[in-house]
Amino acid sequence: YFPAANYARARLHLTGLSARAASVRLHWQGRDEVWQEAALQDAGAAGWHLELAGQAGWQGPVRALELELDGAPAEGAALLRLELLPPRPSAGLLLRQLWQEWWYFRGLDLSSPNVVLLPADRPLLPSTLALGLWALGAGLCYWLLSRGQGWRQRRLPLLTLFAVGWLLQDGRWQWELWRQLPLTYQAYAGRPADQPLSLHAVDERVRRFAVELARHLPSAPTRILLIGPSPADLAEARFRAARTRYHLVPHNTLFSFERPPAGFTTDAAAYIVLLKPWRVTRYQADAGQLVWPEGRLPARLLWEGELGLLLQVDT
Amino acid sequence: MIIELRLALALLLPWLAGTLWLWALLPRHCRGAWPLRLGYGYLLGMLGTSLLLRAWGALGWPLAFWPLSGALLLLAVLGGLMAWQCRDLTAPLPAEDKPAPWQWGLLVLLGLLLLLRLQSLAQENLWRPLTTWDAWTIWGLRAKVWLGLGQIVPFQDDTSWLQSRDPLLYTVEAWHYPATLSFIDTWQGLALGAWRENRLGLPWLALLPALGLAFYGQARHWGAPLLGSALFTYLLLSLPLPNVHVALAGYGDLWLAACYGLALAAFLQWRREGELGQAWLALLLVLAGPLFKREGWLWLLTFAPALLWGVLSLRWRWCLGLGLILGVALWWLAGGFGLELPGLGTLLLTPERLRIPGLGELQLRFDPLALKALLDGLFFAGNWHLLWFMALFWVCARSGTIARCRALWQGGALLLLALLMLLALFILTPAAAWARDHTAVNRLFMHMVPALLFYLLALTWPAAAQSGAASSPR
Repeated sequence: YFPAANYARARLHLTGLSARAASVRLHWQGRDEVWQEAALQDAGAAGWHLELAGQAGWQGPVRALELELDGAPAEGAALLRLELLPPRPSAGLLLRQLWQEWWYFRGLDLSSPNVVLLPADRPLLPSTLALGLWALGAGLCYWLLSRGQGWRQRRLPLLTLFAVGWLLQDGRWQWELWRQLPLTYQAYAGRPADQPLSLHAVDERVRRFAVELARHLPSAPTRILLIGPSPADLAEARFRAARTRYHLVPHNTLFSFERPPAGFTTDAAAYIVLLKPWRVTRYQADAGQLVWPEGRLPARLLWEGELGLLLQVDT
Repeated sequence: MIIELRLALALLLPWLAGTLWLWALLPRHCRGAWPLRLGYGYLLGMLGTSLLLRAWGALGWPLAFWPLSGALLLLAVLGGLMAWQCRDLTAPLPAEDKPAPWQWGLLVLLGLLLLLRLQSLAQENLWRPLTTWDAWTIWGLRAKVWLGLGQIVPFQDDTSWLQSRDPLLYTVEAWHYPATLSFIDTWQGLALGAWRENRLGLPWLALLPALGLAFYGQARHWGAPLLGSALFTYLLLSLPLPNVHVALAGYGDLWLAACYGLALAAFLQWRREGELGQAWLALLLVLAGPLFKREGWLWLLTFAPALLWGVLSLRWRWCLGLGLILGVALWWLAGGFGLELPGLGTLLLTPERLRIPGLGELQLRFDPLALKALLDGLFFAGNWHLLWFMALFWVCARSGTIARCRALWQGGALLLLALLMLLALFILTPAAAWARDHTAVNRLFMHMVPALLFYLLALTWPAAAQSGAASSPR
């Protein structure tokens, strides 16, 4: 994430678009995962420009950027540089940016157990650093001014200094937690008790797929080979694979990227789940075979769903 | 209603058993004794429950809530009998502080702030399913399998799975990770009678107040005043990264942090006054660390030199210190060394390479970007509030006291070693990638944070350390 307010203009340098009439659009995604877009203006040799500050949706945290090039690019088309330029500095602007930086709501997401409130890209002055330097500076001044006094006399004022800084920072953190609560409630709570919880819409689709899939499997736990996407595929595809495995429990699943693992034989698993996208391993229905560059396997299609298909291995 | 009762029992039975056994281990009546027993009791109780499930599985018995509860109750009764046998009625009751009215006001304020925090974290914890990646891909998945089958079955690597035809031999990506968290999830699942993800995080939620109680108890035992102990407990429980590990429950880092921090507190108490129960407690917890996460082995290692340093006489410490400095200088000048270990291979340690037979080889190279990310995590991000600024100031300001007090010196050496290990790991080895992308670095620093805060408390009230029987001017 980075705060949209830190950047006022976008500048793009690219070569190889055959027609000047081609359009270039910048898409950006906010915290709510909604995409916004705006067209860049062609400024000739100076590249393509967009005044971000004037765009209605250019606010809050930005989590992803995408470029859409319309018009056929010539062979060797290349994106040279996409620059996001900060607004022209002024005292008022700096103060506003500082305020926004300190009260920038990041919320809890999957990266939160790794790092909390990581400062925005190129921060002016993170609040932790500001309060920490204040406490260190004030503590040092007090230490020098109170020379001749023992630790017992100095202890309380020093503790107070650091505790005040800590409390301010903790107030900021409590505000963050309070802002997160309604979002968490909206996402997960308030559902009927018998409705299973899903992480989000993608997981809900995976869960429905896995439930349908399990209807075509024996009720007793059985050995399954789950062939997922390539490691290079989008994180969402890899997430779908991991969640399919999770929702299939207590069936006994081996996960493999792209293709059956080396050493896989027909008696190792009675069933195979082949998840989309199918890039390396495919099912040839007419031949009744699962085929990948290094081998093939006789298998019978049992069921096909939105996210993949279920095969029974012919032994 | 019955589910709520079972959930309450699933938390309280291990807690009760742990507390009673701890009472037997630390029978002496002293300041902070009960918060200490309650706090440590929870951690040891949950650990004991996981070991009980492990043994239950090894015996091949089917998983069921009530028989396991009965076993826990039996353990609690045994602990209670032991505690009754060992209770110390001769010790005089310690005099309690009498805080001034303004101190009472501050105590109430701190208590209210902590209640607010716990309420926010509890709501997050109870509303969410298992959210974090490792929580459901590793520990949760194993527990879901065990609950689904009603028995503990083994998890092996992919190759073993492929070679086997056993329908009850499972595999998972990180099959070799310690299983304690899976057992804790399983225990919760048994109490629930079904796989309800938004109740599996309860043990994590209870861990935070338990950690606070244990920390507060040790602080009072150390001799810190009521308000000081409460303030430092507030500092610990208000830290954002541990808070997130309660809200988004499922990782093992908070458990390991609790083990290491409370082990260091017990270690310092033992070094100060020689109470054997505290030594056992430190040993138990530091040995428990690897049961939660593999990094626990690293933390276990930090205790050995501190112990060695602590038992050596002043002359031997000088000799060892000088020898160490000379050895490092010679090693550097010689460009490292290699040692042939018969049957194992070559142990190689050079400024560029580290090879340990059986473990593999690491390229050592300074990574400035990793250092920047590491400093970002400590001083810029919101992980630790002002902890590292305070630690810098406190250690510099109290360096004289550290040098004079044996317990503080040993605790400081232990923490310094832990810090150096983390710095070396994240700046010199390929683990730098985990620092650059902020994935593991802050979680590993979290393991030493409760220990560091207790050490800062000990530096703040060092008179207590200096008055101890085992302390002496160096």
